[in-house]
Amino acid sequence: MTLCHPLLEVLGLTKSFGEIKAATDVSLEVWPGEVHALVGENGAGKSTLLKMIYGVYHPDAGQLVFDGHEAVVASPSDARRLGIGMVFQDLRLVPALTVAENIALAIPGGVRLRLGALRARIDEASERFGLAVDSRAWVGHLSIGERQRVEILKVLMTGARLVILDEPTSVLAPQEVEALFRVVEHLRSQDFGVVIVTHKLDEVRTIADRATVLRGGRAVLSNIVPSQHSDAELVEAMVGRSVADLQRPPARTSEPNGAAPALELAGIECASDGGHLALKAIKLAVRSGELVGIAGVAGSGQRELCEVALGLRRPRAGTVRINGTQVRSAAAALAAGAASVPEDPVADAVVSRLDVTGHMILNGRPLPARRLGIDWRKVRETTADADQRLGLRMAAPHRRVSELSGGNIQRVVLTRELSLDATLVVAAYPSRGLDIANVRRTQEILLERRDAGAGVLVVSEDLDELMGLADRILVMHDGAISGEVLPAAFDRQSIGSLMTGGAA
Amino acid sequence: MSLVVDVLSGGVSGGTSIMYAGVGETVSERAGVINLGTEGSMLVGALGAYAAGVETGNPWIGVLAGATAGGALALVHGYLVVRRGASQFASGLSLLFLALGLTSLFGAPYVGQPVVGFDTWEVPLLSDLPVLGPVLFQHDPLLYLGYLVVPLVWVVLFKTRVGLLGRTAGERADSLTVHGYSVHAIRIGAVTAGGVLAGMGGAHLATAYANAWFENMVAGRGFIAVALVIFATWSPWRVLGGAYLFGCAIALGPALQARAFEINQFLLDAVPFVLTLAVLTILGKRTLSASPAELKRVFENAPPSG
Repeated sequence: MTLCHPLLEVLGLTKSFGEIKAATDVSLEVWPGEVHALVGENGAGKSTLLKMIYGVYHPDAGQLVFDGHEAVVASPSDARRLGIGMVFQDLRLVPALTVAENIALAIPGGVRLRLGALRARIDEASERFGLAVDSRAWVGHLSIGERQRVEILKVLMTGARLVILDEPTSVLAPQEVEALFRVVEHLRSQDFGVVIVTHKLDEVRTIADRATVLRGGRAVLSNIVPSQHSDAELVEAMVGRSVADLQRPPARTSEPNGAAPALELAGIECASDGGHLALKAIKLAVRSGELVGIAGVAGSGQRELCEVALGLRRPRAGTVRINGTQVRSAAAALAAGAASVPEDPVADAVVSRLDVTGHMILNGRPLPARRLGIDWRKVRETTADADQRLGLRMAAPHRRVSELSGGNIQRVVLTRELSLDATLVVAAYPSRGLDIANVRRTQEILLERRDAGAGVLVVSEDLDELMGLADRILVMHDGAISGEVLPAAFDRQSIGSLMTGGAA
Repeated sequence: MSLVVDVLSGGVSGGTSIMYAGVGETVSERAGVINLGTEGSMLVGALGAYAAGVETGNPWIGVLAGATAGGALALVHGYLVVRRGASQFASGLSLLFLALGLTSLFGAPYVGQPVVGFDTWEVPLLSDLPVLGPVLFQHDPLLYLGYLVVPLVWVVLFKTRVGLLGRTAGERADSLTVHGYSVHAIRIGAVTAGGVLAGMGGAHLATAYANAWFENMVAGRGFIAVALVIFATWSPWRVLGGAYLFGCAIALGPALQARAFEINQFLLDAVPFVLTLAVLTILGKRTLSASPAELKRVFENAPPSG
């Protein structure tokens, strides 16, 4: 099938919200059989652009041309009718329903569900598009990667010819990313158009035929061929300035004069909230001045590991020592010098109605007192000082956290915890929600803490981040440590296979 | 032996109103709305059915009136919590007390009035079966209709598109919005349907089980139904079994008294509620984890934010 016009043309789309210009004169085109990467930092206007294409927002100016015809997309149903399908980042599937029932929600039909017939259609489509799914499975039992396949299949079964994937790889393990890319290649070979949002350059290079880079609501580079541009050029286009490579000074290899490790877990067994065994015979040590990375597919016990290490969760068996002191409560962990960046800061580290300054003293350390009250002047001084020292550019001190975006909240928590004089830092997904410049700065700070003699434990799903930072990587699978990898042997394949329970 | 048959037969008969209400509450909660006003829907249903029965002399018109009244009260609940975002607990309880007051006021003239209620109609052949006959097939037509309610609701919930939409509204409402459905309409519809069933339960109580109207005649059955839904883990079949079990607990007292056992009446009245507490103690938190996800949001963040 050869067409003489693009599948989708975006012509000068512009959208402002009050004073803020979320998108200014953005143009791009996607041809059938093309994978088009949409690249940019947080707040670059990617999601605004997608929402205009999908009919959630209405552009102030500009137009869409779909399949050679000018298209008015007033709502998501209009978009679907045209053949534009969207796979949201936070997958909108219903966990308590089966795959077939979820797909039935998207496909119009009569009063009776006729799930049997639908399952046959699903099986047929799943074979045609190379998307293996079990139509009888409960979505709640599927991994994120499998759920993504269900979403893509659903979008295809509703007749989409252009598939938009909003940051699909941000939640996947490396093997799952490869599986996803095989699906995308399959779609390309069948002349579908694919738009994929990402901010990882290696993914752009692996999968995209062309790319558009957004910054500050403008398309800095439109419809470029990635191989004709260097990494430095692309990063500069995204960030607006060049970002130096991360330098990792060599780690200390032994404890200074025989002191105890910063963190020592021995024989830890621990139950999850649901009651099943989340940690099995965990033994690990983080030396002072060492940065240990924890890799693993989400839900392999990382959350429980961090909580046990910080005294937040009581293990069934085993001991936790911070700097040689046995720890049985969160208070004891703080007293022993621990700082933590939790997995879900919105749930576990912030109070939404409190302002930024207020959060800086919610750190478990003694409050700066002034008579019977709090010495707010001192608090403001240390806040300003911490912000300047760490350079994560927190939101203004008087802003309430409820008004901040996820990335901004993360920066508040990072600034608070990493400015402490802690001897143990437990950081789960520290760069979550941050853009490239802040990710880099956060990584530098973690290394600075390490070089200042703290033991640092970093949990991440981003193997590149761990391989760039860690002196050692421990891989978790199903509640146990399935392997230890040293920098000389850092390699995506072997770590990835440990993550899924195989041998290195 | 005959004590067992008496208790079982009384259990089916006394459990029917709880079953109607419990299945209705299941529909409502599956769609994500708790209706503590179920007791109120039963009350207005009972009075509506009784009054219409007295005025027209036709018990089926009574059932229709009771269902309408129960559905109307639940519709108000649906409007308040879905459209106005009111607290589900506050709205349900307020409507219950409103129903209690209104039925006492408007029901006063009907106290002691005779009604043409439902008569026992023995199912040919089946009613002659030993044990099963008297337990299941020597009752009134509204009770037999109840036998169809659970399978019917099950088919609607799990085999039809409306049912799928309703369950999705209780599990992940935003995925309905994505596909262009109205969460509000689906939830209000489910709450109203639940109220209709509760109203029919009330109708059974007034025009078949007791054949009388008196103030606060539902006497906590609506709340037992709400509790029942939780420990039946939102399954209409388990609601059916649980309702008959509670019916048996209620029937135990009269059956013993008929045989001249001297047991304190108040103690016997407490049996269903002690049973409720016992089941909740045993099941504890486990049931909550099986609850519809959007409903769990109600349990865990009781005062809605904003």
